[in-house]
Amino acid sequence: MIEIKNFSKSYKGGKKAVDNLNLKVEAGDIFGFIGHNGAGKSTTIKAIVGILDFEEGDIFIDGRSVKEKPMECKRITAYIPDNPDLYEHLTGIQFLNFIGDVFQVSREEREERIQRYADGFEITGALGDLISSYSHGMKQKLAIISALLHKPKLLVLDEPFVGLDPKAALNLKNIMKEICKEGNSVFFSTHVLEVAEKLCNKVAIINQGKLVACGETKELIQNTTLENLFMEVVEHDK
Amino acid sequence: MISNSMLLLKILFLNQFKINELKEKDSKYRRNVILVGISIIIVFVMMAVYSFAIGWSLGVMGIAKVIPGYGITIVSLITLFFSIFKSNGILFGMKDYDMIVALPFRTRTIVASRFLYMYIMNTLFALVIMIPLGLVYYMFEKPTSFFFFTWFCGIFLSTLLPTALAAMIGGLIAYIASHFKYTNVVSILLSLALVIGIILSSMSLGSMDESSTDLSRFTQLGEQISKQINSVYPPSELFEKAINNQDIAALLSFIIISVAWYVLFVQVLSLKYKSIHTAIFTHSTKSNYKIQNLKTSSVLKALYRKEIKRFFSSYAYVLNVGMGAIMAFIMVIAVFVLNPEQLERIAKIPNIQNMLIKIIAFVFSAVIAMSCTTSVALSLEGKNLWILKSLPIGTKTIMNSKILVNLTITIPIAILFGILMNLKWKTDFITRIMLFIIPIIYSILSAVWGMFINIKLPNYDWESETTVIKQGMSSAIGMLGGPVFAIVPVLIILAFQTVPYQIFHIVITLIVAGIAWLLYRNIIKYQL
Repeated sequence: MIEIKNFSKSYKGGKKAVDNLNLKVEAGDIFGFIGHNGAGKSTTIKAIVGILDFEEGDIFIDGRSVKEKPMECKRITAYIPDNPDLYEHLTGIQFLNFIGDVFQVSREEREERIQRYADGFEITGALGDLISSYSHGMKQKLAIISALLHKPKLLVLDEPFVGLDPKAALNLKNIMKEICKEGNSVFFSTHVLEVAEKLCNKVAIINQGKLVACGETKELIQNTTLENLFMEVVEHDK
Repeated sequence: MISNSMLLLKILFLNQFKINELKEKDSKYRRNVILVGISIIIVFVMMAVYSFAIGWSLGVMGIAKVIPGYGITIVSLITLFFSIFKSNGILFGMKDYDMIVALPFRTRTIVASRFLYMYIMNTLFALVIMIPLGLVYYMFEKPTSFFFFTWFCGIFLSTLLPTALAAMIGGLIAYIASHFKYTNVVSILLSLALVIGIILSSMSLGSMDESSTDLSRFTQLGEQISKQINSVYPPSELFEKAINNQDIAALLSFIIISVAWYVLFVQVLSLKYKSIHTAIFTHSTKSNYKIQNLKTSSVLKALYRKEIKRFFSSYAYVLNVGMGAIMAFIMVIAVFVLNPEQLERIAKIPNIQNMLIKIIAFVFSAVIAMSCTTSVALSLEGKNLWILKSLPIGTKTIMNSKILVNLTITIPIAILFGILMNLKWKTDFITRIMLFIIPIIYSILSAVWGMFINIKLPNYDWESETTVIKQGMSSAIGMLGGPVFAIVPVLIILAFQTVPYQIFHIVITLIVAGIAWLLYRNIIKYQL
């Protein structure tokens, strides 16, 4: 579903935020992307979803290059940032309808999906209120619902569990599993290693822009924990 | 308190003008600032030359004594007019409010720092107007050294009172509106009423009784001008006395009145600052929504709806960028209702009717083109830009939606202009048609020009939308572009009066349409 080939990204001053990254996410994967602050996770995610331009390497979504066919890639992808800044002057339902229009989701489908996911996250009643009145968690929930409206083949999330209450976090985990059961993929970054260990069938660890570990979660951690593995590879890389 | 206010002021300047980014040698921002800085210097030089020329003409007429009152009044009125709508954004619209209020600063300190920010910006403008006028006054009146001290005080005090007054009016509007459910709508309506009031009253003040002005009696004229200036802005009389008569008491009164307004403003607003802020930024929620039949639409329509809601949800956006449309509307009605004699008196141009039919469409276009929402539409995406970037929407559709919003505001008034001018004047067929086409083409040019400029000078990293709307370079250049394109043809038509003006109308319209088309082609190729 995602194939990252020799991807590098430098910012001002020439320092490489991501250095020659290669990884593959298959259909049906829940893929955890792990790294400390500033390791290059968000840079990679933003490049995957087409927010960030890059010169070195290429990224393919379902076989299409995000550089050459950005529209086709975006049509099958959904992205939820770590801190979703949404259109505060719209109501929740107006925002969802806007996203529905952009992806040309039929009326019946959008009504059914909004009802299902909004009820699941318990924000149906608040959908008529302005987004500016929402808490951080409510904005996060709204962003998740909007991302699920067009049934994406690839769901990309940046730190999705930050700000969610325990019930909403559980709901999101179930949705992620459901998406993958249908043959789609989820790629997300996280600091919560316990969640990654339990939820992801594959993980990758990035440190100072370089991939230091990648593979099946079970094979990587074997008799230890993801936390121990993470500390080990990061320390070893110093 | 003073040192804390200065500390907050320093942070405000660092943040608003991105000073640290400016220090980076190869940053795009630095290059843009250099270009924009050069443009600002050119505009400032032009303003200074204009100011000098006006002062000089008053001096040549032998009425240099009106210069002090004239200078103070001009600076004060412009400061007042442009600060009323800015004040709310700077006082209440900054996104750092929560962080600053949580720190151990007195409310007075916060209010004072926000106020001083506005004051310093206004005073830069005052310097450009007052220094040339002071120079002319010195050349004609040869005053004593007391003049330098007094004029120096005048420069730095000229904006204090009007800035305080504007901030008070802005604060009062915010306070009244905060008591209503639809805070923003009430703020916009109150401010619109205020603007229309200011425009209408300035029109009535501007129509001097010309029958009594005998140009051979300059002294009498000077007194009359002085009296009129003082009636418009009473504190100018004190400054005039202080300069002309070396009246220390008048100077002290001028200083005390200016500073007192500032202190009064800071004290009064500090009492209600937090409650106004809370009322503005808390929203009533019903939390009883039930999913009913949702309407589907095209991508363009969805973007257009989002964009038009963005426009009308912002106080600063409607009042600043929409001002051209409001003024154009007032102009259409005024030209339609007033008879030629009244128009001649207001415009102070004899035989106006014959000239007006040739140039009115361009003059109107210059005013309507000032409503250039597109010049800030992209920048205003700000932190929401990730949404457009990550969605499968082509640049062309995004740009079209923003251009359409601009046209929604300007085209109806342009059509109204065409209808009313056709009703008012009996003229030839070509002119009748051009009364519709010229303003419509200029509306399109202005919208496309604004979009082009905003692409070249975007600013997504803002703390307050007022920074983008009122102080942004894209906003200023976008707003001035249309009027410049429209004023040039007026000068050409007036310069070549022997050539049938209809030829100019057609040729200029074709050129403008061509420029708009080229700009549009350029815009839709842009990658967000």
